[in-house]
Formats: sequence, C-alpha cells, structure tokens
Amino acid sequence: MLSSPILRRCALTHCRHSAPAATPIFLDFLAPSTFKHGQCRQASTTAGTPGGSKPLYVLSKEQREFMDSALRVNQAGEIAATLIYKAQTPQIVRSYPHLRPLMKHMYDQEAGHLKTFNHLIAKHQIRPTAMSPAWEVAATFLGWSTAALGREAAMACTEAVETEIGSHYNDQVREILSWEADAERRGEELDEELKEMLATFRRIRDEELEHLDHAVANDSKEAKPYDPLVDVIRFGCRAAIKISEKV
Amino acid sequence: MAYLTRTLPKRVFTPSLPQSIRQTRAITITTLQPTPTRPTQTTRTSKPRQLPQRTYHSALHARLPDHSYTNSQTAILTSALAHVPAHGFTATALTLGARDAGFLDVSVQLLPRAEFDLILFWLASRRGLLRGQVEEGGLFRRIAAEKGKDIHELSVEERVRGLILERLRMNAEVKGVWQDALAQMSLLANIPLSLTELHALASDILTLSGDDAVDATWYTRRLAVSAIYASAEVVMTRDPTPDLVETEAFVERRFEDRKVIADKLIGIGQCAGFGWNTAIGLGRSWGLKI
Repeated sequence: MLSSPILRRCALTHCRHSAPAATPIFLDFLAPSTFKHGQCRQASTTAGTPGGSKPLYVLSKEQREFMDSALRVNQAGEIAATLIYKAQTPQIVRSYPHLRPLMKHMYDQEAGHLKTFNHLIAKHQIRPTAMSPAWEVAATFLGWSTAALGREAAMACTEAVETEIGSHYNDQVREILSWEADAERRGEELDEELKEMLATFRRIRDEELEHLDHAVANDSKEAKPYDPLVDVIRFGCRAAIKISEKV
Repeated sequence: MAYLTRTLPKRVFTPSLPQSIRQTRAITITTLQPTPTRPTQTTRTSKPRQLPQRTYHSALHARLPDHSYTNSQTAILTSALAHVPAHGFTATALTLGARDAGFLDVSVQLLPRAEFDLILFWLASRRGLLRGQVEEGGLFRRIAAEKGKDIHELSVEERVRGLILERLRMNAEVKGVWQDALAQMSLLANIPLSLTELHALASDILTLSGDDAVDATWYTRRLAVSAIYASAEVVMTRDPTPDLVETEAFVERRFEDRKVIADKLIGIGQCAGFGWNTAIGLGRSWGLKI
C-alpha cells in the first residue's frame, strides 16, 4: 500500500512511453521483477508511520509466509483446543463436580483465543487450514477418549497438548522478537499490528501455560500409562502443526 | 560503537544501490531506446515465477506482486492486448504488440509460453482492473444504485454477483476470440496455471465483497464462485445479446441453484448433528459413561 503509488507511477510512465495502451491497466500487481522483496528495504525509508518518527519495518516475503502459516496453525490449534475441552467436560464434571468451574474457565479462555484468531485470519486474508474437518473429528475423539480413561488421563492430555502449544507460541514470539531486534538495528520499528500481535501471542501463551499448571495440579502425572499416552498425544500435536503450516 | 556507526548507513544503502541501477536500466531499455538491439541480453528469459500465492496481507504493508514479468515482457504484453480483439490471442498479436512497443519481432521469445502468456496477462490485468474499480469505491456504489439500495445494504452475495458480472463484461470486447483462449487454457500443460488464476479471481472477488469465512466454507465458497464464473464464461462466448443479458440471466440461475444446494447441505448437516446430540444425550441420561 505504501509503495504502490510509486510502483504505479513508474509503471504508468513506462507504459505511456512504450505504447499507448488502449485499455487502462493497473500494473501495481504486476510490479516489475526489479522490485525484489528483501532488496526492497529502501522503500521503508520513504514510508514513515503517521505519528511516529521512525520508519516502518517492511516485511519480506519469507516473513509474510511465516505469519501466514503461524496464524493458520494457531487458529487450527484453538479450534482443536476448544473441541477437546468441550468433549472432556461432560464426563469429567459427571464424576468430579468440583472441576466444573476449572473446565469452564479453561474452555472460555480457549473460546476467546479462537475468536481472536478467527478475527486475525479474516483481517489478514489468510487461508484457513483445509484439514479443519479432520482436526475437528480428531480433537473431539481425543477429548472424549481421554476423558473416558478418567480424570488423570484427561489432565495428562491437557498437559501434553498445552506443552506443545505453549512451546509453539514461544517459537512465534521469539521469531517476531528477532524481527524487532532486526528493525532496531536498522533504525526502524515494527508496525502497530505486529506489536499488538506480539502482545496477544504472549498473553495467549501465558494462558496456555496456566492451563498446563492446572493440569499438573490435578494429578496429570498420575495417569496410568503416563509416558506412552503423553508421547503419543505430543507426537500427534507436532504432526498436526506441521501439516497445518502447509495445508 | 564506532564500527556500528560506520557500517549502519552502508547496510541500509547497499541493497538499494544495485537495484536502482537495474531499475533505471530496465526503464531505459523500454522507454529511452525505442529499438533495443539485443533485449535478451539484459532481461531474463526464464519463465516468470507464476503462481499468485496469497500470503499474509496487511493494510500497513504493500501488496506483494502476484506476477514477476520483467519490464520488457510487460511492455510487449500490454501493447499486444490492443491487438487481441482483431487478431485473437495469437502469436500475430504478440508480434504486433512487440513492434508497437518498439521491439524487434524476435523479442516475442522473451515470453516462453507465447500465446498462453498473453492469455494469462489478460486474465491477471482484468483481475487487477476489477480490484482497482472496487478500491476506488465506484463499483459497489454503481451496483447499489442499479438495485436502488444504499451501498451498506448490499449483501455479500449481491456484491459477489455484481463483481462476477462486471468481470464478465470486461471480457465482452474479446468475446469473439474467447473460445480460442478457453481452448488454450484447457490444454493439459496449461491447466494448473489456469486453475490457479481462476482461484485467484474467485478469491479476490470474495475478499473484495467482504466475505469473512474462516472455516471449511472458505473453500466451498471459492469453489462455488469459480464454478459459476467458469461456466458463465462459456455461456458468454455464445451470447448474441449486446449487453450480455442472457449471461446475466444464466448467472442469476446459477446463484439460485447454489442457494438450493447450500440449503440442502446445511439442512442435512443440522439434522445429522441434532440426531447425534440426541443419541449422546439419551445415552447419558440412561447412565452410560459416554
């Protein structure tokens, strides 16, 4: 948006000289390949933030791809998390009524995260994962089956999932922080949306890790085949993350 | 510290220097030298990396270019489009376009896909034109005025329909030669790129209309718009009416069909979900541990 007037002007003058085009053509989407992103840093010096003094840090193609897959995975993860809690709640609450407020609290937080990411996906025009029907079935089955195994197994499931998700959010926060450091070195700053997203990711990560603490406090380590159960769930989570990044 | 201050401006400016040189060189080729003797020497002849992939979009950042045609390629293709209504999407149109742009006839070799490049450029430039019309704000206001509504009252579906029709009207000037283009696009080797372009169009139409699907409907809606647009394109080539009235009626009917099918599927889904929930609830009320 910021450099497109430049591009368009350049493209149009170039057009006028080369050939009198019969139809008007918008060339900003066909920007000449000389504008390689990554080399496009000089554009950021012309584009200042409205209020601030520092120029804006321009995202490269790789960074945009990273954000694309990151937001897609996060949304898929939150869909799965809400479904897991939703499937676990009836059986857990039936046997342990005192856990009702905790389950409701965790479910409400996950539903809030899902709403956040749905909003971000729509705003940044990101393709949602094509695997969502499969993830929905898998998450519901996971929640239902671990709850059927008992409270400890259900909490072990929460522990495994939140460990994976927490470290996943951590990686994303670290990546955005590295961009921030890069921007600092160049004397630029991240745009408002990214700063806000960084804060959101941090908050959500902390809430996921809080769920992890709740799970451990509720005897998740007592689950009977603890190691195989947790390993299988963590492996499944990692595989789902890898797939959702691409598809 | 002193080291940092020495290197900092350097790091900022070094990438931009070769680029500005290349940029001016590319512009000189097409603008200042009307007849370049050897354009192949300075421009890449490799296939432009196509596949307009959607990535993270932000209002604060410039849109990434969907295509990477070089300046010379763009110049040839742009001036070749003027010859399309008369000569079709053919090598003749390309050669004439190259001549108009001040290139030698042989420079059509800059375009490795030849006629298909011309078709793709037509599709992509019309798509950009559509986006331009919407972003300047005039198109939806006109559609709303035709329906006698306020612009904010337009539903997403009405917007989508309006954009599809607008895009079809852009094809009207090449109506006579469009069947040839469709035939070219349906060749086996060209199918992937044609479908990518069709998807990009459907995606653009839905995004511009303000569709905010974030689940599996994201896919089904794009599929529906692609199907409607592609079939309407075929109908348009045989539409003898001047203002594409028949095509418009066809699109209306397809939207009605889409609605009927969508209602059916949603109904079936709701019925199945209701039955499933009832079964689970019944089981729980009998004391089953499920």
